[in-house]
Amino acid sequence: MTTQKVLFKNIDTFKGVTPCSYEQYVKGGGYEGAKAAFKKTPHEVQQVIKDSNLRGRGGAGFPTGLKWSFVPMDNFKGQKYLICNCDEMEPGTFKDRALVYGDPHQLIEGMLIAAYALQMTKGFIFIRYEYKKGARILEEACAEAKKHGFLGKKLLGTDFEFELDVHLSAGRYICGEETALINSLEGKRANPRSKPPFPQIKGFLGQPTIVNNVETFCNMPHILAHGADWFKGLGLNGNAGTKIMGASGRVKNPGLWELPLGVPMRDILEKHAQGPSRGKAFKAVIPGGLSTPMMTPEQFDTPMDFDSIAKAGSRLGTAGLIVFDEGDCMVDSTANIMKFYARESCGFCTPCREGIPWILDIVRAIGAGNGEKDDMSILDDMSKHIMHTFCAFAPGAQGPFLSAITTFRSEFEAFIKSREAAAAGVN
Amino acid sequence: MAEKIKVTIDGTEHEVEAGENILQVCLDKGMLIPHFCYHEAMGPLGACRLCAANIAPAADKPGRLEMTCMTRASAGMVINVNDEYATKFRKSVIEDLMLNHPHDCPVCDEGGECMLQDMTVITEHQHRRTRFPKRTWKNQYLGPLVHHEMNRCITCYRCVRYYGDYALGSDLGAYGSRNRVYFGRLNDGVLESEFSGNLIDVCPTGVFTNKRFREVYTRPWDLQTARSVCVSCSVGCNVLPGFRHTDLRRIKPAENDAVNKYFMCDRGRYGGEFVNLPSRLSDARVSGTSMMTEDGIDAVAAQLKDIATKHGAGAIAGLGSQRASLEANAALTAVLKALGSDRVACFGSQADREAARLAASITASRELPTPSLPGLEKADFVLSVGGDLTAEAPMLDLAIRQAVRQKAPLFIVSPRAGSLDKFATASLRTAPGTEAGIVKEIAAGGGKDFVAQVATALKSAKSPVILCSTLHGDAALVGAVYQLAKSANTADRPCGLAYYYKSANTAGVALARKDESPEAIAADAKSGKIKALVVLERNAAAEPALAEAIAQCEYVVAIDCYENATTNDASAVLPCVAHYQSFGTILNFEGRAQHFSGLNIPGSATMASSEVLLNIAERLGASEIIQGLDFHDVYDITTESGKAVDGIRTGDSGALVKSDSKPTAPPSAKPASTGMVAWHIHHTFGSEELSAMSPPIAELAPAAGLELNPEDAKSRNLSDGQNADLTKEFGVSGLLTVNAGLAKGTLGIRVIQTAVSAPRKEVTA
Amino acid sequence: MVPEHIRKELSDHCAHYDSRRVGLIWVLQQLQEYYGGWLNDDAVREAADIVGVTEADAEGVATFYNWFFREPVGENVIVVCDSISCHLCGCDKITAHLEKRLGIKMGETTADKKYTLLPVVCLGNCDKSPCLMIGDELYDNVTPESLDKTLDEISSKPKAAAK
Ligand SMILES: Cc1cc2nc3c(=O)[nH]c(=O)nc-3n(C[C@H](O)[C@H](O)[C@H](O)COP(=O)(O)O)c2cc1C
Ligand code: SF4
Ligand code: FES
Repeated sequence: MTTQKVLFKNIDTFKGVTPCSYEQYVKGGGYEGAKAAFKKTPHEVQQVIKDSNLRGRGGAGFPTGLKWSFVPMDNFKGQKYLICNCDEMEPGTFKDRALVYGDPHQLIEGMLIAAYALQMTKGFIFIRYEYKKGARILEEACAEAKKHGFLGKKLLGTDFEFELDVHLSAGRYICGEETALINSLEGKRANPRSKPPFPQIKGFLGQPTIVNNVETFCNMPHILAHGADWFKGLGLNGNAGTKIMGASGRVKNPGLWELPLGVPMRDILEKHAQGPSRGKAFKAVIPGGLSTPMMTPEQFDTPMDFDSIAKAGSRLGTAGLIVFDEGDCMVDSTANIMKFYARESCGFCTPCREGIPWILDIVRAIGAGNGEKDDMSILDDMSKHIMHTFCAFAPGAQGPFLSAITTFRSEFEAFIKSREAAAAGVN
Repeated sequence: MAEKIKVTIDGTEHEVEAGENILQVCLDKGMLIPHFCYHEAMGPLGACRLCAANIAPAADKPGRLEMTCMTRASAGMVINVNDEYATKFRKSVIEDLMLNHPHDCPVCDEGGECMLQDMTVITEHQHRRTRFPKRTWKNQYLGPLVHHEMNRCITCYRCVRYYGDYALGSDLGAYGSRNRVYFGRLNDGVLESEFSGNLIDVCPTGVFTNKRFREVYTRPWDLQTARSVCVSCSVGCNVLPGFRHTDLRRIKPAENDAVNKYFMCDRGRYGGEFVNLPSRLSDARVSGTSMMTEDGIDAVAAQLKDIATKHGAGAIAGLGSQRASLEANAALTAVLKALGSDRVACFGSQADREAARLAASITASRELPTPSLPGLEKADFVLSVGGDLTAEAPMLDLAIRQAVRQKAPLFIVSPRAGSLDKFATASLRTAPGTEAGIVKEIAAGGGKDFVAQVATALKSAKSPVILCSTLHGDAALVGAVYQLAKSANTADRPCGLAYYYKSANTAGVALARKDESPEAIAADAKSGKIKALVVLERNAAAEPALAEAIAQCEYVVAIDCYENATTNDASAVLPCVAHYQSFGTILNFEGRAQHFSGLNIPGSATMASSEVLLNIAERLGASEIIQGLDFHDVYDITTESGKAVDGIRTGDSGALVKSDSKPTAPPSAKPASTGMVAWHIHHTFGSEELSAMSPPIAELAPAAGLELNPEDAKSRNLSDGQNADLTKEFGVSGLLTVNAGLAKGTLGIRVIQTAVSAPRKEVTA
Repeated sequence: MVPEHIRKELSDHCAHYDSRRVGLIWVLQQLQEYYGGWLNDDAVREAADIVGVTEADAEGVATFYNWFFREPVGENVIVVCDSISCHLCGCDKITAHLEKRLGIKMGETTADKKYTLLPVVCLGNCDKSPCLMIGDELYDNVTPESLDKTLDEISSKPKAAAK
């Protein structure tokens, strides 16, 4: 199967990334999508996006057209804001880095199209601190775009204007959550906000706001240039578009590949990532960034699309596979996973702030041979109740955690048993 | 009125308003759903995750775990608080919170009124399953009022939501993140807010506790408490003073929906310690001899009778009290009546008297609505004139902050910038005596700049309020504000008008039918026409208009609860119990008659001042007068519901009094002075007589001194920090502060009561 | 205190947003750079003043984010990713090597103020793990040997002139 390169047309991740220049971008058909969009009415552009079945690439897979439809349009006079979420701090996820570092104009064009469709005249690219260089690349690209009349006032022969700022975050995973991101952008602590009101109605500075992921925006120029039907045809089994998929961990050839939505996971693991890195069989895969439940080898034929992965009990998330092999201790891995969540919790709600560090303490104790008889039942209790938090962070932590203590329970129990045995003088 | 709908809570159908907060609905109905972060004043937050219940949108729809505080009632909603999983979940949230909570209940001063304790019991959390070390914190020094103990924190965010979001304080924040969120100041230091003490009540655990109470700690259930009304200003917050033995240990706000719902200011909370001072009077003292109160009363009655017989009825006058109850002031008139006199003065100067009496008569006429505190919070336009709300009526300021939070424009016209000015849409600094002219300009419409801005905003407001100080003796201003409010008031757009006063019962005594200018009484005392003065709960010797008269008068009887210049000078001293042990009725700024109860605390002074006076009247053989003592004869008041006033019986929220006479005509404004005008600067801490004696309040009080605008200072060759001698012009001298926030042409004189700095008594458990 | 012209520049930047507060994080970042890599109490107060928020608000923000330091840090801040992919690929070895070579533990600064060593969450570079950043520079597929080479180079560079 040959894959059509759409998003990665100008990017070769394996050769390291130098950003695609404006000239190069335009030569490859860049800004044609924007031109096509500006020939339509904003409503028509929204309709194209809706028809394309594009689903958000930030993790939740929410249909972009539907999300946009809540933005007040014709009779709304106030300021509206468009925000690109380039926080990308979810472990196992590194696709937005490639898109931003490799082809900044693709993102800018995508945002321009969205801004026009939603009549939003101000935009921000919220980029994580560690992508400081990416922020520079984007700033330069924005200046270039402005020079060529794709940002600023009177764009493409219309009265539409769009001002785009790059905001360098001060670093925090929770900033990726869209309402926390909005708070952060407003210069506040990045605690999430309660919904409703949804950002589409009351977001940044209390005004209608759309937050989309980098990759979501990057799809838009192509959809506008080639049409909704073309886009729908890119995926497999009725899934629309391609998806940047990645693999890291115990694979021979870690990396990123642009593949049709719906390719079997096995294809990625075996063909693209070229199998296990150290001769040990695969044991588990976290399919879409750390916040998704683990999957096991019998599930490797599951197609990598939102619905199929959900049906298999996990989530597609960001489609960044994290791969474990038989040599990996799942207690140790779980401790590492929970360390991430304990460290990055914003500290707002009780189960997340207090519960996750407790889970971490217990898992670490088990791993260090200090597990106790009741530990598994505490972990079972906790695995349920960290679900009920303010934002999706703690449920995200629950995903890999619950699957680990369920699927690999025997490993946890073995640690606890061996301690009991040691205590009883048996070796 | 929101639509009424039906919801089912734990199997029972309830009628509620659509959109009502489910947690509040349950709490109102007496179902205690455990919760922390939700607070009625601050609304839902959704952080603690404790108030969970199983909620289904309809009976035939599946329910799921939701936070009740974040859920709004909709028709047909089914709420199961007792759902098994929800119950288990709430228990586990408590378990989470207890992981790091120190188990220091036995030594914690929140014990017995700790919300965490309560919630732990309700959720039946008993056993600690964790075996890991707890996190610990450093505490901060937050000043003399509030003690900080961070280890007890459960991160409910109530403190910062109250202090910053609600009270608009700027120096308390939430810092850090993950499981290390810290609530405190940037550095150690005194909390800046005048409302910091409320942190103690909003904090559900013992992080913020009453520093004064800690020093004399008693388990709350060992405190004797009777509902009282704060005596520290004219707002009249309801309070619960807590006594142990003869000492006042603390004051807490008491809920009253019409006045202070949950909160009170720091002056009120910490200002009650005058009750404990060693200078508290216990025995009667007649001609330098100590005796039992009863004997003192006999001696005083005999002496007064003697003077009346010798010199005639006009030889005796009374000095009424703005901090004593209506009953005590009425009893004073009864004593005078028994002696054949009707001369009484309740104010410190004719100017103060005119301003307060005019204001009180306007208020009591009920011609214009007087906003209550909850009413002020809902205002969409606020004009504050003549004074410093924060210092002169603190809780009115806190109410105005709520209006400001709802984006109400706030305008301030006063000679000096106060704490509230930083939230003002615009402030006008203008010399004392010129405010009335500005108010008139606003009423006339047109004008420019500030005046135009205020007039325009007032015109477009739907529920405007105007607040005016009477503490500076400007009756012309009181009248001008009345005219402005009247012109803005229409049937469909009522304009609220509120005056505030110097003391807790100034509004009450301002309605006295018989009250004359203190200058007149002083003159007659000096000329020898008046031979005897009966002074009720008032340090008259410290009042400029009366000092000389007190010193010269032949016979002075002082009735008070503590030793002061007047009792020191008096020929006879009769002790009464302090306000928080006393009972009676006082009128707050709204003319709300609030009854306060006293505790019968064992001690040598046992009588309220009203009782002392009635005893004297009885000794004078005036039982008929006492029996016929009708409030309405003494004061120009009935209640709004038209009930007779004799012994105003107050309901929970107190009756609003109503006067049957029309407001007296305001005096015409004095011609604007061309020179410098003196203006008394009132401070939140240190200016009010009784609270200033409380050690923590004295600690927070600024130094006495003078203030001048930079230009005025320059033109007089005076500089900041210098001793300025203005004795010739104004009869004052003192350390000068150059203050750009003071209007030109104003000499600011800081009113700082000299605090009696006595050590607290040794406390026995 | 920063010089008036810088203060003005920071203030003007805030004015460019629809609400001045939007500039707070950027202002803190600039001040952190100005004050040698960390925010002292004065810097926090200054930021609050420039942006027009309360001191408590500025401190709340300054202590929330990973990349604001409220304590002095070394000239080079080394952050080592310890999230799952790097963990699987041996970041613990890298950390151990660094701790040994620099003679400090995670979270500490060397006595000569040259290096501060901190853990960081996923750097978005999982296909090249283990990885770390020194200053703004990202290092892929780090080994103890490659690390030594890098540190040798940095150590031999003269200290950047302090502002
Ligand atoms: C804890 C947390 C972290 C998140 N981080 C990111 C992120 O780094 N990038 C991103 O695009 N979306 C992230 N999301 C999802 C966003 O909230 C939001 O759904 C997304 O930006 C929407 O974009 P999309 O509709 O284009 O997918 C995160 C969500 C949560 C709960
Ligand atoms: S779930 Fe965690 S990260 Fe999300 S709001 Fe609650 S504490 Fe913050
Ligand atoms: S009271 Fe509802 S979550 Fe705290």
